Amino acid sequence: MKHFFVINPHSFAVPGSIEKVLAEIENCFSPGSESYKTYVSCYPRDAIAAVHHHIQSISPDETVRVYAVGGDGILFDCLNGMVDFPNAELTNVPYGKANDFVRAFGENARQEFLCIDKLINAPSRLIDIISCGSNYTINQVGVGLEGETTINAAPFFRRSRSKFIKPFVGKIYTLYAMRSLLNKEVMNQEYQILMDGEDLSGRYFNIKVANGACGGGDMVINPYSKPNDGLLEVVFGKSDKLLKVLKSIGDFTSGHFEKHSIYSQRTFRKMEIKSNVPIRVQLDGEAFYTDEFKFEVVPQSVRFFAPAGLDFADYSYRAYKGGKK
Amino acid sequence: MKLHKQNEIRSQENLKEMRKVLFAGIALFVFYSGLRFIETTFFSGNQIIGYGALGGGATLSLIFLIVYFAYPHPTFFPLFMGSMAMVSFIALSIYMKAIDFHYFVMLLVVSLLSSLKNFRLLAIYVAINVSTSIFMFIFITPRLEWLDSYRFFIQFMLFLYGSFFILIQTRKVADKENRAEQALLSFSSLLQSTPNYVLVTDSSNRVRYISEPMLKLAHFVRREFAVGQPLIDLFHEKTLKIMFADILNRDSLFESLIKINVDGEERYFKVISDKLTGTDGGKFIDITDITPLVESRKAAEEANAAKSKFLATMSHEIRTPLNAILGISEIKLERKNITSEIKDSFQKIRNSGYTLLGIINDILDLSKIGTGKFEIIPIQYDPASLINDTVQLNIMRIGGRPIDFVLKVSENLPSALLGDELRIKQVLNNLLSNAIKYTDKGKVTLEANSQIENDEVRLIFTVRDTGQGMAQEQVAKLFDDYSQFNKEANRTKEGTGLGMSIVKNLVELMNGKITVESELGVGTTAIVELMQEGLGADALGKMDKIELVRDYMPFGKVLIVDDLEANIFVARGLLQFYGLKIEIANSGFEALDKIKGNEYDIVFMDHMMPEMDGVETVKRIRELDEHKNLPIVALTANAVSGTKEMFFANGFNDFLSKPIDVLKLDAILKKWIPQDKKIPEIEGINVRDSFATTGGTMEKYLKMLAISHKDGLQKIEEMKVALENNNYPLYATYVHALKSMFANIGVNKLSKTATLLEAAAKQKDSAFISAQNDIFLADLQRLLSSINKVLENNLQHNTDFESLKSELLKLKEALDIFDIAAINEIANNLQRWVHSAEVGASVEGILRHVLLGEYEEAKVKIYHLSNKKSPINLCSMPLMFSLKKESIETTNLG
Repeated sequence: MKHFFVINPHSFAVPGSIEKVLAEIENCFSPGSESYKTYVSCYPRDAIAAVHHHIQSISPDETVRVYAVGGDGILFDCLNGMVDFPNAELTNVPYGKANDFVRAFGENARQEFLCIDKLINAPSRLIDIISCGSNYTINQVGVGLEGETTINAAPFFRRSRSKFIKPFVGKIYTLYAMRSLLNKEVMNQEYQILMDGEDLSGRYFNIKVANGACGGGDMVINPYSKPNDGLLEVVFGKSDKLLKVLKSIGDFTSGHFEKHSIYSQRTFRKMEIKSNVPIRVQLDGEAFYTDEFKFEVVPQSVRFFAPAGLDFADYSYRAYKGGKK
Repeated sequence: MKLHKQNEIRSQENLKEMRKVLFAGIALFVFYSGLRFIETTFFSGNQIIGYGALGGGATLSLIFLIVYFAYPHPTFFPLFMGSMAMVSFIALSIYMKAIDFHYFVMLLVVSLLSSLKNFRLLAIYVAINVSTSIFMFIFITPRLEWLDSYRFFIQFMLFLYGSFFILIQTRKVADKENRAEQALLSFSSLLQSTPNYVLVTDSSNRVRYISEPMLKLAHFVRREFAVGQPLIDLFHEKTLKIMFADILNRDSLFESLIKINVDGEERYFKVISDKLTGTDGGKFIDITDITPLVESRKAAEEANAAKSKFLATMSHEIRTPLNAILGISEIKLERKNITSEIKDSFQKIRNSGYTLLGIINDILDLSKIGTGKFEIIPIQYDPASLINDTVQLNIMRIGGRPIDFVLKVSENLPSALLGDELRIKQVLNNLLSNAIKYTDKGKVTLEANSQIENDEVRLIFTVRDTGQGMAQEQVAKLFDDYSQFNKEANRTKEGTGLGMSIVKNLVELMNGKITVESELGVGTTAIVELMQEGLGADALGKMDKIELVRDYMPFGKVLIVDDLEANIFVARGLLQFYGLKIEIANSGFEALDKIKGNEYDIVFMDHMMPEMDGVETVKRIRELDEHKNLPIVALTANAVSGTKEMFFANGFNDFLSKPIDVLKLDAILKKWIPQDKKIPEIEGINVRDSFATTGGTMEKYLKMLAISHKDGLQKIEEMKVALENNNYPLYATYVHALKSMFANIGVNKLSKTATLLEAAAKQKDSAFISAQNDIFLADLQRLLSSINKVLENNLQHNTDFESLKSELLKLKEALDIFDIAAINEIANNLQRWVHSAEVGASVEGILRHVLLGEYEEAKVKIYHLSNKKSPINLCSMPLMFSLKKESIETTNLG
């Protein structure tokens, strides 16, 4: 078995912390071992090629474990690099701001994942991933408001990598979300949607597709989502008055979107979205623009390994149980 | 006109601007004055307002400072500077315990104007304030107390300093910003208009700038959506993401061709990427659509492939029946029981088949070269063997034409080299075959030289001929495909005109060069230089001479014995050039009859003949005592091993296989034809022509040579004297005489030179004569030496004085009885003998008397000479005139 650690240096704001991780990795293997390699990412998406080339250089009969050390961004890159290789497995060492997919194993799972030695020989399981156009994502997709918010906030977070920002990430996103609410083009965007053969075209301010339940750093947006059920969950946010939408945001981010009539939830396998106006999309926190999108669940397609004893948590208890507003 | 209008517009704009500024300046002055009035009237001494202003100023300054650090944008710089100035002013005011509110405002205004970049207005504002302050300083401060004056002065200076500092620094930043903006605008317009796919990234490889076509390729409708995105996200296919990641990972210039599927269509792009210099870093990527180029190349390659396939197919289709034609012809020609007419027909079929094969090979070779499929395959080869094979192949082409072939091989030529032997042979074959083809008479020379250059050997082949030659414009077109010259004159000469084109291509493929020089009517020289890899082999040393220089043998007589007319035809054709008398016998019996009644120098005997074969015939010839030593050469197509030995065992003297090798035939003739039956070659003399000119007899020929030799020596001396005396007319006379002599003995080159010298002498052109005379005389001397050698070799060597005496006595006896026939015979014999100078003079004297009919005087001299006892030294002597006319029969086989 080979191990490939892909490290996002921007996830380590504190000087010296990346060296600590490297030392921790080294300690997991015998001195001079050639069974592991580390790669420090230099720019966004370079890990796709690095993972691809590394796995390609190894015999297809040998398992390669890819460790995305950082946040959801590096996990996204690693997933897209290893997805074509059946002998590759993936995990996340959560040093990022949010690391939402790791939370699918429970709110306290993050600490477990940070112990690299627990991951070396951890069991793996098959999970679903989302195919979105030419990319794959592992946890969530946000179209519309979420996409716009991510796009607007991205420059700030690129400039501000101070550790002091971390506690305020959620609040900062909220501020940017507020700003995005003022974008009429996004808030009233018309989409042509075909979902598993059903036409759901209309104006939506937000469309949330989820494989995992958690998102936004500390939110549980789709409590019913499970990463290995072979299905995707989608929550449509219908365009409405700004105040109404504003009022519903809080419930939406806590998983209680059902309180509000402007939201509707569905389960699907395949969806096509088109629009005459550029579609803003975020894929696990990575922002994209497109004019048409195809989502499709790719069931049981990637092996994800997690510390022993962990399994996907059931967040359905977080779902809203009352009536709609 | 256009420039004048532009200047006019610019002046009007400036005027408008100045009016605005002036108005604003006045407004500011009024504002300032009003402010000052308000302050002094209402707020003077009011500490609350003062401290409030101080606090406000400090707060404002702090805000500007924070904002600038948070957003270090050039726009906020002036505010930052203004804040710093205000903070300084506040500190001073506190120290001075006096607040002047208006200064805050003034500095604030300065800062704001700076940030607005209206430097003209700012300058006017500052100027107004300065003027006012100076006015106040001069006229008002003297009335104030010392401290007030001092405070006023400090504040004023601070304001002045602060304003100018802000102005200058801000102006610098603004200028830089302007330049950057201009550059950005220019670059943006370039990005808008370029047809190329251009990308500029920042240090994180996110898009900074993107051209319109690239925007469309990435399916972005708005530029702002693309800017800031990771470059890799612009591409949808994973292979492209990986490809561009690899490109971005390179630190240096990168160039490559890639294939991208664009809207379902495969397109080809050339990608160039390089790192940007400067502190910002990033990369520049230029992607050019080269699909049309690639498609044209693909089309060309497909066409080439189709062409190659077609040629390969056609080659096979043509060669297969051609092989049958050639094969069947060869088989038929091997048979003995076919008529000569049928044999002739099959020969023509075979020859035509080989010609066609040669043409097909040429076309295929040229096609291969054109499509780049021609490979040069270097192998170790033996240059000597290569040259030999080529010469053997081509010398056959000479046939019966009066062409001499000379081979000169440098002794330093290595004995082994690395190169494509086959192609070198092809080149030489082409050159030699052309040389022979286009030469009707004269000489064809092949020279092979080499020069060692480090580990390589420069192989130099020179093919020289005395053929038709070419005009300069023809030489220029020589290497064009299908070029043939003088088609009308050369209509009987076969060829497609591809040969030289192929030669040039082959030479160039072997990294060599070929040059051709030619003169119409004189001949052509082709020089090929090829670099070959040396193998450190030894030098060749002296190579066996391959020369086909036919001696003229008008006195020789040969018999050809063969039952087939075709064979006789071929043999006669090859022998005719030697001037031999040729007789034919169609059977062994006929041959016996002829031999019994005639004297032959050589008999060429066919082996397989009906009734009595060659072996039996020779056996019977050897039974005749007088012909025991008659040279008989077996002429046979039976060339199997052991045949030669069989012939020798059965009385044959030599062996010549069919088809007849002209070199071997030449060697046989030189070996068996007695020397006195030949007219030896003399360098510089056209022996055949001169022999014919002198009447076609050996006697007269030699006499002419002797006279020419004597005259030539004499003329050399006379010419020298004439030149010394600058007697050009006399010189011209002597040269004219030589010219005639040269014409008689067939010395063409010297004859031409003599003509020129004669003309120059008549013109008294001393410069020309000085330049040419020495060379001419040297050439003449060489010619006379060559003639002398021949004369020596053809004189009967007789060192026995007693034999001479005996001969003289016979002459005396003949003179006594007036036996004219005997007198002539003996006199002729005496002419061929070599005598000492003294004896030669005596003999000459005797013969002169005999010629003049002074027999008594002759007998006296015979008596005196016969009684001499001194030894004889051999030397040469000129011959006298022949007293008897001889005729030699020659068979003109035309």
